[in-house]
Amino acid sequence: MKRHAIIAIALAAAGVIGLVFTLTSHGSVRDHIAKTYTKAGTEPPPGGKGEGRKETLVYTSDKPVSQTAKDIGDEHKPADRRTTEAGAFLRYKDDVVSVVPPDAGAKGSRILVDDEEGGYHRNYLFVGGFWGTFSGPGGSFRGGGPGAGK
Amino acid sequence: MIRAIALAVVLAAVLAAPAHAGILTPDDATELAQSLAEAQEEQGICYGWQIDNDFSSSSDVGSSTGGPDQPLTRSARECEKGYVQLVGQIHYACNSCEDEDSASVAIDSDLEDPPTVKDLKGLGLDGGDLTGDKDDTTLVNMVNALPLIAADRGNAPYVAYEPATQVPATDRATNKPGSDLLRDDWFKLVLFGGLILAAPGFYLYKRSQQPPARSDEPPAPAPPRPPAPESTAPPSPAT
Repeated sequence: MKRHAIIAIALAAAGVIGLVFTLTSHGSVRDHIAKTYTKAGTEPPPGGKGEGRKETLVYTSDKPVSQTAKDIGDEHKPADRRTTEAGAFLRYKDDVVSVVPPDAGAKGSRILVDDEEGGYHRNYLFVGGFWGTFSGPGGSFRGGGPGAGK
Repeated sequence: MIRAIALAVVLAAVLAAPAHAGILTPDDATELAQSLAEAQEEQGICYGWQIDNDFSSSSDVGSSTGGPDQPLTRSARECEKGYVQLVGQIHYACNSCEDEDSASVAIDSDLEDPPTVKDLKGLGLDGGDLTGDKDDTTLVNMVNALPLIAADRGNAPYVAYEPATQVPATDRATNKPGSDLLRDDWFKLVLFGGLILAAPGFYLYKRSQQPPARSDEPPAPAPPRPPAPESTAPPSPAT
């Protein structure tokens, strides 16, 4: 077999192997949080149970709120994020991750993993208008979302 | 004459129009100042922002002590633990200029362990984004993050997180984000997909560069010519 045919086959094989590895090794942000942080319990989904709704998963982190949000965001880049005085909120395709202060007397931070509807409902006072519709009073910056301009 | 009058009217209208007040609208600034005032009440730290620019006559200013459009006042009574203020500068280049739009931010504070610009970057908040399409959202997020980071660094207790209890039925999330896989691994997907596409291209290119095929065997010898027939003419008689 000629040399350049062997090189072409090697290139294609490297591409296929790399592609398969990338597709099979990619985990969701839920998987990452489950593997990295300590599970503290579950809660009913905000906005009520319904078909396809997922329970809220609650985890704890030893690190402060902004450091925990940074760690999660570095590992799985969010489509959008909102940082407020009371927590950092990361938006993914199907999930919303809320990193909020710990319970009274505890250190570190709490991580709440919701489905999209639950995350929007839970954090409506913070993300309402940024990631979706908002009927309450608010400024013109409310009304954005991934890909939405000013 | 008519053209001159029309020009004068347009000029007067432009001059009479209210000046653009920077990035945030008055409603944005009011809401932001309100959230800072609530943080100040819980933490005893005063917060503010002042972003100067070269495209309007006024800056983006606001504070927990004075509200929107009011600079931070650092009275010891209100700011018992100190103050934190986001300061910055936005420069917009003219259309015909070679330089580009730019922005930078810094944090002014008297806290022992104040928030830093690096903390903001860790939360995905870069001062350079103040020249982008989402400049207002970026500024709001940056200023809102100050009380959170101040608490993270032990300067004050956290502002309590309170989930919403009532949400209007008509309000819901919109603009669903795209694939998480593409966002996380787009570079790998492009790289490996490119390798797969490049392989046949490489092969065809190399094949087209080769000279026409030649046989390695020496050319076959020409078939032997048949011997010339001997002359049958009778020898000439000797004389």
